[in-house]
Amino acid sequence: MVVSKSRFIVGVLVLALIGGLLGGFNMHWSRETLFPLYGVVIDLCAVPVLIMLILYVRKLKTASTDEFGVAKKRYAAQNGFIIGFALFLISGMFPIVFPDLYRQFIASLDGAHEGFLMGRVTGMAPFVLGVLIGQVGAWLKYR
Amino acid sequence: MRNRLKILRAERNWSQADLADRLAVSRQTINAIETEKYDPSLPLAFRIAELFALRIEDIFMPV
Repeated sequence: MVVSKSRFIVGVLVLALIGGLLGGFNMHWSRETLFPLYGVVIDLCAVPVLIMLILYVRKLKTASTDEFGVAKKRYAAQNGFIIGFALFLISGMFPIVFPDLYRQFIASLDGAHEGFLMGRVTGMAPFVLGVLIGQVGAWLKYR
Repeated sequence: MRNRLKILRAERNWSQADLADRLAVSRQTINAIETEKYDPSLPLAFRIAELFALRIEDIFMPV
């Protein structure tokens, strides 16, 4: 780690700003019948700048990353995914273990759309919980 | 893996932050290595050995 994290964050913000400005500019002119010549010039100038900036920010990221920090994040992510998957499997047992409660829950839903939304939420929730548990586990192990 | 990092650091009167600066890593990294919660990468182990002018096996020992 030879570069501070704040420099990397500033790099990401500048990159997002330039990317957003360029994207917004092109989005605006794509709705018009004619793309102005200065638009072409701006694109020709800005795209290489953007590419150079992406490469520079990547360098900043490498320079500001601490190898122990990476190991910690990897540990948290791996455990989080495994715990999330285990919770997902356990939550899948719910209709088998509690069939009456399950039917009651399904009957309480207001149509297919709500069922779809509830399925998305309950399918994702174990993984979100797993990620949280993984982070807390890594924090407890390496504090 | 066991190591003598804390002893070597103490011999030179360096704080964890001093050593971290010299090795261009975070203080947490030094703390984790000293408390044997984390084994450094090979490049970092070489940097540590070079800094203390020792061989890697003089600093790190297998359990």
